[in-house]
Amino acid sequence: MGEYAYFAGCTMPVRNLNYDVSMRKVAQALDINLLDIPEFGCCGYPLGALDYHTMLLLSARNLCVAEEKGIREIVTGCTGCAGTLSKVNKALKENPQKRKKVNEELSKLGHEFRGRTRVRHFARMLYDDVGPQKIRAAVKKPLSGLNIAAHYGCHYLKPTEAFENPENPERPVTLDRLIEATGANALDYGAKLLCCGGDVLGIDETTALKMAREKFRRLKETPADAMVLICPFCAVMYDAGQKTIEVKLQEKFTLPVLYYPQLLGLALGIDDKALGLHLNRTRVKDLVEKIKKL
Amino acid sequence: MTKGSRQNGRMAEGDEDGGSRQNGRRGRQVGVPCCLAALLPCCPASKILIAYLGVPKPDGKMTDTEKLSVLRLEDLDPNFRQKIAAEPGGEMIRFCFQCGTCTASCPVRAVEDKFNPRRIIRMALLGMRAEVLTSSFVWLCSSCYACQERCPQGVKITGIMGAIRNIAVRDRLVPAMFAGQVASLKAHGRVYEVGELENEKRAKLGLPQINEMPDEVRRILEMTGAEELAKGNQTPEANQAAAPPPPQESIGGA
Repeated sequence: MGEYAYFAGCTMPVRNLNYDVSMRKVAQALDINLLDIPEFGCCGYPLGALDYHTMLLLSARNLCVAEEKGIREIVTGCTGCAGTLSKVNKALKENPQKRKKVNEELSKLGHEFRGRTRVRHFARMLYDDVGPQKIRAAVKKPLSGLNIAAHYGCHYLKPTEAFENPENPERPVTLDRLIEATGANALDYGAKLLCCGGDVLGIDETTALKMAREKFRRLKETPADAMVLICPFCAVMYDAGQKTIEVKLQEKFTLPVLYYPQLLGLALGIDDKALGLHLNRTRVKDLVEKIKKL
Repeated sequence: MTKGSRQNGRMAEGDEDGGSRQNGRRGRQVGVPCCLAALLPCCPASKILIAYLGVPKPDGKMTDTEKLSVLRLEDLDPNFRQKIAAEPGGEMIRFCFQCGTCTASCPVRAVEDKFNPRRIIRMALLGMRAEVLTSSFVWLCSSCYACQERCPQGVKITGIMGAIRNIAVRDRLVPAMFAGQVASLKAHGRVYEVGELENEKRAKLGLPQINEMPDEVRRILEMTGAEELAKGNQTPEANQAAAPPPPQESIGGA
């Protein structure tokens, strides 16, 4: 398969090692070559609210770094990074004035944006370049009988104008198809598109937790065995967040939360410890045992 | 009932309410219906008009609700909408026709009444610059883009929230978390430090080591003056009200 620059971002390599390791294991199993680029830094997203221009330059710098290495494809497991890098990439490709201004400043660092890379989320790359069919063929342990609730994460889908080939943000299918490729049943549920609230956490924790709680309440009405997500921030809210919600909002939820590469890894027959499942904050042990017995 | 009489009927209803308030009206204050208030920012005579959506009681004291409903034209900034429109992302603000699709789609609104995107845009269009910029609610947008994707007028609401935040920052109204984020980016080139401890944890899982390369990120931050921007000197009420979350839980905003 192909070769991709792996944009790990700031959060995942420090706080979501289970996501990082599972993505790499799955890539290895599917013959996808992920290249680590030491020069990659912050994608710019956190400073967008402070100063748009700073965000633009931070983001564009990463794109230049990849371009200068002759890399055509960047993939990232973080929806925040994917959204920001895609948005900036597209804006600079389409807007010559913006590009000129950015290049004037980046030239001081010896960089020039030329618009020669493409940015995608890891899951979208799996869907586009490997495809559900090939994944299904690679599955050694079909997860039949499991009901999995997909959580896409806002910036995986929106704003649609940020992406070169966006899917319908109201009826997204890619993650559901990827879940089905493992043999599991992808649940159709009403709260699928709810925002995790992660972006509000630094400003107002209670509001953020209430937003996350909303999804759990709705999922309680479904036969979901687990929630699957593809973003380190959504994981902060839904995986680590379940305990916080219990402490701060006095409402207990016990829904196992996994990253998609962990789910896929289990279906590909990769050892659960190698997929970092022992690092998940929600209790996934029973689910893993259940899968082992399948 | 003719169209005219129906309108009169409606006005009479309004008068009932306004009439009781008018007892307390003093001086040259002029009560205007809410719909007129929308036009006032563009009115050249606005300097001498004081528009009240509510009028203080005879003792001069206002209830909290009245305080919120009073619009003084002298406090409004008729250019605020232009300023927002000049920011990247804010361009489409004038196209808003107040249908409320944004608020109906908003997951923050669903759990917190304080946040109402339609109201923020309305306030911005009216020129309520000070109220908008000093409010806590502009920082509550979760940047999920649900509203923006659904807006029938193509208003980039998430972009507008970003534009308003950027303006607030330049007015030195900055949530406290940004100073820490910029400091971390400056020192490490990333939001979270990757030190020995983190690399040890990574090694245990067979993950490659990360060596921080903060130089270029730091130079960009110096070029744009981000550190100075993040300092601020007035804290929006959000930070006074909410207890600061532990630093490792802060994600940032857009």
